[in-house]
Amino acid sequence: MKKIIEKWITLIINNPRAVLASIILLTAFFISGLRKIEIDSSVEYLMPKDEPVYKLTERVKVALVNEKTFLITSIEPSEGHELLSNEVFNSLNLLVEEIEEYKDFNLNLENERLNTIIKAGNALYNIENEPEVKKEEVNLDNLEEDLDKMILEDSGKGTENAEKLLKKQKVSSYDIWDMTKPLPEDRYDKPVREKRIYDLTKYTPVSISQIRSSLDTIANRQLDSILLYLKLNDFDKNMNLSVKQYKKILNAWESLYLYKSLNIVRMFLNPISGEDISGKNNELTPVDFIEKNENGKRELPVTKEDFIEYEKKIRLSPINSINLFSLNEKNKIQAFALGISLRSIEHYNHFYEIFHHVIEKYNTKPLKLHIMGSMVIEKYMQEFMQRDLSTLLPIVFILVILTFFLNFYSIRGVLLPTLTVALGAIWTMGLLGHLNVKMSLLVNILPPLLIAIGSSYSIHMFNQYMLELKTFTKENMKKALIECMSHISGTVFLAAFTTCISFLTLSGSQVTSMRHFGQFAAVGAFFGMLVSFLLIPGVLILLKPLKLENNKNQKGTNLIIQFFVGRLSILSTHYAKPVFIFSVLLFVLGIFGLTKVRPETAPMFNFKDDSIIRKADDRIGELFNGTFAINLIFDTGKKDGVKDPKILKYIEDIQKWADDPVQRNQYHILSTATFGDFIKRMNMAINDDKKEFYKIPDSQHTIRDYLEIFAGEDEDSDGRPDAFEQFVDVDYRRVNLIIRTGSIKERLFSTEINKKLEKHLKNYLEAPKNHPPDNAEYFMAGSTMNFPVLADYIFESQTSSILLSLFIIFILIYILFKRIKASFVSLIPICFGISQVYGLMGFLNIPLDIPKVILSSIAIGIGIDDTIHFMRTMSHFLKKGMNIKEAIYHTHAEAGLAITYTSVALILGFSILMVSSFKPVFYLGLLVSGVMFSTTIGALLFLPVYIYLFKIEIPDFENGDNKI
Amino acid sequence: MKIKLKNMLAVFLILPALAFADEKGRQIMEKNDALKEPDTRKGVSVMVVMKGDSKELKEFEMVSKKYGKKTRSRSTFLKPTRIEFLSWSEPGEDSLQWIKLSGGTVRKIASSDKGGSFVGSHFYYEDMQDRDIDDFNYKYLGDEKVNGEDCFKVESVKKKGTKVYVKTIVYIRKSDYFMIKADFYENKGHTKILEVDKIETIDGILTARKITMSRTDGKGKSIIYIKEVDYNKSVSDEFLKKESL
Repeated sequence: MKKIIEKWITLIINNPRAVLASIILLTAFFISGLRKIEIDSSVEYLMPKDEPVYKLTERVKVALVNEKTFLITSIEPSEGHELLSNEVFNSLNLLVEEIEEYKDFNLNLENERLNTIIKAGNALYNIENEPEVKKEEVNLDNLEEDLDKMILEDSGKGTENAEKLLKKQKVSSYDIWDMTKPLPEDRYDKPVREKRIYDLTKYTPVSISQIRSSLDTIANRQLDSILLYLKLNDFDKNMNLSVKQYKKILNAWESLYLYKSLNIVRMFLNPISGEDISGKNNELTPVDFIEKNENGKRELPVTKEDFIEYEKKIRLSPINSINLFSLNEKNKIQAFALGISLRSIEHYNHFYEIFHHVIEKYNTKPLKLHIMGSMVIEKYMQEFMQRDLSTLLPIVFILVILTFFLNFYSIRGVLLPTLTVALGAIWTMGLLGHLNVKMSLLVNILPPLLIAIGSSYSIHMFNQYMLELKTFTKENMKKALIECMSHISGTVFLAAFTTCISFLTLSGSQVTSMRHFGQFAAVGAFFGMLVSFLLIPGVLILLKPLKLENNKNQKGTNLIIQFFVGRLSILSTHYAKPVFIFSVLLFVLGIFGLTKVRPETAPMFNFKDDSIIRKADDRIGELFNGTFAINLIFDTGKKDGVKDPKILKYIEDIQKWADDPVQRNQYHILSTATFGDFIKRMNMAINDDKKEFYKIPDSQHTIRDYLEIFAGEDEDSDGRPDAFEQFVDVDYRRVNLIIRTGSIKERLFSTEINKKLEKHLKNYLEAPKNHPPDNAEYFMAGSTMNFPVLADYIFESQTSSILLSLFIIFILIYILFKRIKASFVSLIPICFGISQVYGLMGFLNIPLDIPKVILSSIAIGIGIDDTIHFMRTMSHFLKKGMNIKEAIYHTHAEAGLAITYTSVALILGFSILMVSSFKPVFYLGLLVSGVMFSTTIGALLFLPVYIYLFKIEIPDFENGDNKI
Repeated sequence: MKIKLKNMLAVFLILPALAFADEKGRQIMEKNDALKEPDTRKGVSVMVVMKGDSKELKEFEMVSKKYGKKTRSRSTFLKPTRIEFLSWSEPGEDSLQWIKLSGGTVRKIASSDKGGSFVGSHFYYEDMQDRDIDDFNYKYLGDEKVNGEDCFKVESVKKKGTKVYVKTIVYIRKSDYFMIKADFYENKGHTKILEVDKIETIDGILTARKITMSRTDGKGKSIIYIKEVDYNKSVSDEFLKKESL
């Protein structure tokens, strides 16, 4: 190994220009990959794709509902305003009008608006290159011919035969519930046309106020949303926009145009445009909460009487008190809700980034809004991740530069290592981009982590250069540099190798984020080492040797560290037995704490208590009914089985059970919604609006009658009114009971609660008296169900990663030292580090979430470096003929100081994670310090104590070294 | 929550009098409006609704009688349910309607949103309405061939009231002024096409026995077949009263 490294270094030093050219080329390649990096903060991205719960949930999203697109906005009056007042309703109406445009696309109006924006800046586009979205061609000619003959020419059983023929029609070549088949690629709705590429070479400068003057009122509000999204809201309205700014506005407008053309808002529940049906006096009358005048404008309530009338309307349907408004203890309406769910599109992130501002801009007097939903959580996760990167990277760079400066006191001593760590990180992240690996919360930690790890390699390399500088002369420069670099490269290689191993043990994880992190942290450690090997000798050979007087480092050591290491040395040799007992006690305590560690994947735990999103979650939890959902789906096994009153009454009974306050308080079952709610409301209306008829009717014919006369829109023409889509499948074979859950006052919705809820539901359904009728089967699905599954995977991955690492390290040490006992003892610092930090997490109730899985890798990576360093140095002193006590003392004096310096530097480096916007990353920064401290204690105190007490033989390391 | 009900009569009326009238446009539509219509109708219709994978057949009997410009009709579903509708209508006015559920409950129904789907089909209630020729403005757009037949192409736009359609372009056959196709435009653009087929003269009255309403995006269509129809046969007034439901 030593010889290979020497050959490698010789090759570099003999061809420095070729090496540097290669570095430049490779860097250019990897930089091009940086542009491809995308962020994905969703739980789905993390999930193992062959996990049954995940697969089922993805199918439910296509066949029934993607509850992740559900957005709830609570509406309260801001201070000094009344909820039931004309000013509040005016603002609310503006918001509703704007959102309605995403539900009912107006082609001519939207074309006119888009053209106004295009003309304002003289943007060009090639209409000939504009492919229209293909319409669906379904060949029904043969079927129609047969139907024509049967119905029109056969007066006998023609209709009957036609009906049989229609039933025989193959429903579809694709069965969405067939888990063996992949989901169809064309399952998403398509906009009215492809996205345009605008040519702005002939841009005519235009100001925001000029654009505004040509737009109608609602379009002006849309422009406000876009300006907020682009952070141009404070831009001088009368100043001309730069071509870049104009292009951004135009592209955002184009995107919204296309989203609107999808009628992307599928369901929009709100207290303004909502409607109901009245059945008073035996007359069925459609009721608009607020009626429109002849000009199509809503006549909003003004007087007290108007509001009394309005309240009567919205309080009529029992569903509204769950979905539409929240009552206070005096039974007065204290808040309204806007409920939105979207149609099926592939990526929601971009849409929601803009759409968020459509709602958020109304969060001003007289309204006070809180918006929640999975899309909101992902938006904030994404923003925080970007913010973290832009905050952490500069800080870690400053810290690294400062370290280099304090170590080397020279320009090249700062520039060369800085460039090395920067390139190592760029190569890794560029590769990530080229391989289309998305950034998740864990992968986001990679850049600062890689810089911290890479810096230790370049410090080693450059430090060796500085140490041996005095032996350099003009004549022997090449030879001396080869020797110097070859010598240190062995150590760097070993450090990188062990780091790679510790991270690679995560690469077998089922959790995407953990796997990617493990793989790319290992690749990053390798790149860090590779760039150090290439760049540092490659550049140093081209430069004149540094003058020795510049070498001001190594001037004495920090007294505190010296004192600390000295005490450890004394403790480990003079008080070996008490220290041994103490270590066993600490270890046992750590293990006890470790058993208390609970995994956590619920997204709200990522946010700090005072974050805007936690506040929104708290408030919406108080007012309404949760932002997460579990789909409890019943499969009747037959077409139209859902129209049977037996199954609907059975589900109605579950709803009654779920309404019990015990379910709310103990299991976070906050509300339920299902298809039967529509039937119950229609039954009540048909029966003179008497509340006692808010129930499932006894007759199947009645249910079928209701479905026949229910005339809801079916925008996607799939055979179900849009309002039913989330509750029944196209065959009316499966029915969905949506169970809403989430945080309730001062109790955050956690993975543990989630598990408890799922178990509780299963127990209820499995009780013999609660079995579904007619052998209907049930299953549960939903993104919320991914959380506990993911938590189990984290726990499993973490355990297997630790065990695998310990095994590999055991083998590695055995190869190095060829002694079983030495191999066992070498695991002490790592095991101690892991037991202490996880034990601490257990005692302090800090959950094990995805970012914290790297703790074990760091414990192992650092622990093994410290152990090898300590044992290698000790073997060196033992070889010199010292006894164990003397060898330990000298090892502390040499390796002990180096180990402590590295740990202090890494603690400082990782502590910057505490400025993260994410709670888990903040704790990670804190806990890494714990890991560093405990592995250092493990290596410098317990390891020598065990060696000393058990007389562990540590043979000559060099013999083993040659055999790596 | 929407419940939208209208009389089934228009299924039969939809063709000869669907469309409506610049000067030349109006003249063409007047001739269309003047096509011979019966005083009473009795018949059985079948509607096939095709939406994605879902294909459903509905069958119903319909009886109607003219009282001057007013019409009373009663539709009885045979499949998939046994609901009945009674409707009293007159052009330009909201209809009076009642529904009888399969279980016998009778309820009056207020007039409702005309842009709603008619019994889950691609027809809107607006499509089923009696129309007054004076409610629309017409514009002659030129001549065009439809399925090899020479037609007048006329645009009609509603003058007042709720506009379900931004405009409708109808194709009137030159040979007999019978409408054989219509393009419907909503806010979101050209959304639906109505085509008629199997045109026969029954008792001197032009009758299309197959009427197809398709979505322009190809996502589905609804076909109404006039399976049986008798014109000008005796229909009792009692049968068309609410009490007889």
